[in-house]
Amino acid sequence: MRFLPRLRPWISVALLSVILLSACSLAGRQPPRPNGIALAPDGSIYVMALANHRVVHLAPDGRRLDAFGRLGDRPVDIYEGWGTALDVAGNIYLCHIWRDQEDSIGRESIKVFSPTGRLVREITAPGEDGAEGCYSVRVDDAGRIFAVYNNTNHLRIFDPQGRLLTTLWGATGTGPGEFIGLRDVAFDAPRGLLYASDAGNSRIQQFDLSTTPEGEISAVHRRSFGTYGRDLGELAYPQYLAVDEASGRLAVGDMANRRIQIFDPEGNALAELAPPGVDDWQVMGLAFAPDGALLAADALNGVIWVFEPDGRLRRMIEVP
Amino acid sequence: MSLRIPIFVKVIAPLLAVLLLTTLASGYLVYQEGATRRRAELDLRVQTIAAAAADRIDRAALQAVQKPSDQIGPEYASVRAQLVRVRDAGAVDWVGIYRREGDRLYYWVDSDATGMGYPFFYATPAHMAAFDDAQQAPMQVEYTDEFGAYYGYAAPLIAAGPDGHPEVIGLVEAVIYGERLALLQQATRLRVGATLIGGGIIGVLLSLLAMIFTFNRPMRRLQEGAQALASGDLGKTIALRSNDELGDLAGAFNQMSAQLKVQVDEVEQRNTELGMVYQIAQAITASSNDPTETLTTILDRAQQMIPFEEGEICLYVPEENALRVRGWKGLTGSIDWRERKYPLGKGFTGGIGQSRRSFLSTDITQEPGVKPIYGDVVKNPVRSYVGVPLLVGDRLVGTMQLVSTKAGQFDEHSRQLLETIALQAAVAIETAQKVEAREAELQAQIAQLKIEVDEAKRARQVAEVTETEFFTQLQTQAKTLRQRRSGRGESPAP
Repeated sequence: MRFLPRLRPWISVALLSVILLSACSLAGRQPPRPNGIALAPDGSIYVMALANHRVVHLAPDGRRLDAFGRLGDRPVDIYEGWGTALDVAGNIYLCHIWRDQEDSIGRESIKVFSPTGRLVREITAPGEDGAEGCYSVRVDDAGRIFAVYNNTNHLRIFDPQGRLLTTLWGATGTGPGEFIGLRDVAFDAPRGLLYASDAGNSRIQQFDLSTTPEGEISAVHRRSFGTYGRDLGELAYPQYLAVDEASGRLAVGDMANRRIQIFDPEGNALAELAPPGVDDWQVMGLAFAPDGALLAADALNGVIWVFEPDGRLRRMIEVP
Repeated sequence: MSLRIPIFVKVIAPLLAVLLLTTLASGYLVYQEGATRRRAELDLRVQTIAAAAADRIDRAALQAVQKPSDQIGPEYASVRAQLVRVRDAGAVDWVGIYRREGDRLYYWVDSDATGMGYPFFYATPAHMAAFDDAQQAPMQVEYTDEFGAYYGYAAPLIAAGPDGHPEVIGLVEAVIYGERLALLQQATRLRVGATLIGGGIIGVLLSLLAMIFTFNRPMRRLQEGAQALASGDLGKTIALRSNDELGDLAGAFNQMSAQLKVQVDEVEQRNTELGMVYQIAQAITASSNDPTETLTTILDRAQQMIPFEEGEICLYVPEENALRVRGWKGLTGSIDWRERKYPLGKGFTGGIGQSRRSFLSTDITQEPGVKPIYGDVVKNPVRSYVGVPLLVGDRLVGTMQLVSTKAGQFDEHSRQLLETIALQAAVAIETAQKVEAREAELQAQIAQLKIEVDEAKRARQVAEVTETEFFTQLQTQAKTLRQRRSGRGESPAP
């Protein structure tokens, strides 16, 4: 203890350094802006935090378990990630965009990470100029990868090894199978349905998804529902989708209306959800939990809202 | 445990830090000034663009866009093309029009085709104020969304309402990306900062190097010098040619070291000399009682201590009141010293005898008045002279003087040494003189005794002759004869 007076200047310098470093660290912190969300079989949550350039792994109660990714130009880095999906092996998929200095899309791909954050695979659509605006990625039970491209309204389907199987849609318009900004797709495997959110047309298109024994994939338009507006059943810039396969309910992130709408497989609006007492929010990624709870990523507030099956708010999880 | 803080850290580092901070602060002020000016220019440009766009937009086409799917229609494309032209002409990053629903703003048409009705989550009070006041000048706006930060101006878009009166139907905004602004500022900061920090670092490094060369190294040399001195390397000098305090310190160190060496050498020399003086005393004491030999011994020993070319020992002759050379040592070829005589009071030597004080002249050519009586050593003029009286008590026994043809050969120390030798020499010389005198006296007594013995011998021989029977008979006969003569009237001879 008698050395303390002599060490005091050095202790002061060390404390000052810690304070400065902490201040710099805090100054560099960004709101996470979560946009993609996926649930693992164990109930843990993977969230794509766009602004933090990383995928955060959270326990069901919101505790942070792990995170990987950082801003950079290495293959393993995440410059800009959109959407999140898991395959049966627990690998994490996300759309990855690297923007050039003019802020236009420079390269884009689907990056596949192991649960520990190791880059397993990077999938690039062959022959494209890399400016399609990959917005969402989904993986079905067969391991096929469905990549959604907002700018070209393409849905590209890859086999588990990343080989392109087929490309669906791509036309801009208001007719069936045409889109003004394809944002997301969702499977209702038990019913053989595929939903697609058509942001500019303020609607959801429903397709019968089938695969021939030869592996031919087809999506036949079944119905569209929703028009531009603020009322129940009307939509404004629908974004991400989620299907509760047990009940067939479809959750639609009705982003411009600041709500989530729940539809039945026939396209009937059942309910609208929004966190109570929140002035503004931006619903992005959606995922149903096995118990029917709905998780919604709020990019504006940097949180995940967890709604009960009946629409009440269960919990808010802050994205670290 | 004592924390060792080098002088550099204590003194120089704060000075460097202050210098660096001052430089940085100055650079920051310059940067701020430049940034403020650039910001003002930028503000004017963006403000003008927003106002110009608000004036020129085709209101009819704009108002035909009423739902998101209209963005694939011709009206949306037309208005968007106008906005793109304005954007490109004004060299900004984005130009767009918002519409208002309640207290919320939505994109209407914009240069990026975000989509009609797409929510604008980041409306600021400035945006809302621009909607509320049609006369409002473009308002400065600044906000951040998921794609980045924006900085720009928003101007109200006015059109005739259903009743024909002008009303604000939208808001035109022109922005530049915050990243671009930040990049611009960052680039400036980087340039200024790199210059300042680079300059500062180079300055600090140069200062450090300068410190190492001008401070640390000299200090280390001084330390090594001090250690060498402490380990006995007296006279150790430090080669340090710096015309500053450290140079002065090194000079003082060298001076101290040299002085120490001189002093220690002097002490050692004194010890040696004392030893030699002791040896001289012993030698003188052990020498024979022959005065000549004693004087030679004294001169020999003196030359071991005080190199000279010619040395003399004179003895005082009271009858002549002069000093006569009795001992001499010098180069062959000198004049016969035996003839040398110095009247008391004349010349250097006579002066010493008279004053009974030693005398030193490092260069006798500089001595006023007095000149040596014998001024040459083998035809070379004498230049240095040192002489001392040989005294026993107050009585003058003689003098001892040394000369050299080299100026400055003798110094005060030579004189002191010679005086020390003179003390021993005077006693020895006197002793020798006494012995010599005693011997002479004894010789005289012996000679007297010899005379007396001879006389006794002669008397005895006479007695022996006169006391013989023959001589007695002769005496008797002579007496008889004298009596006979007196009888005839003649007295006999005695």
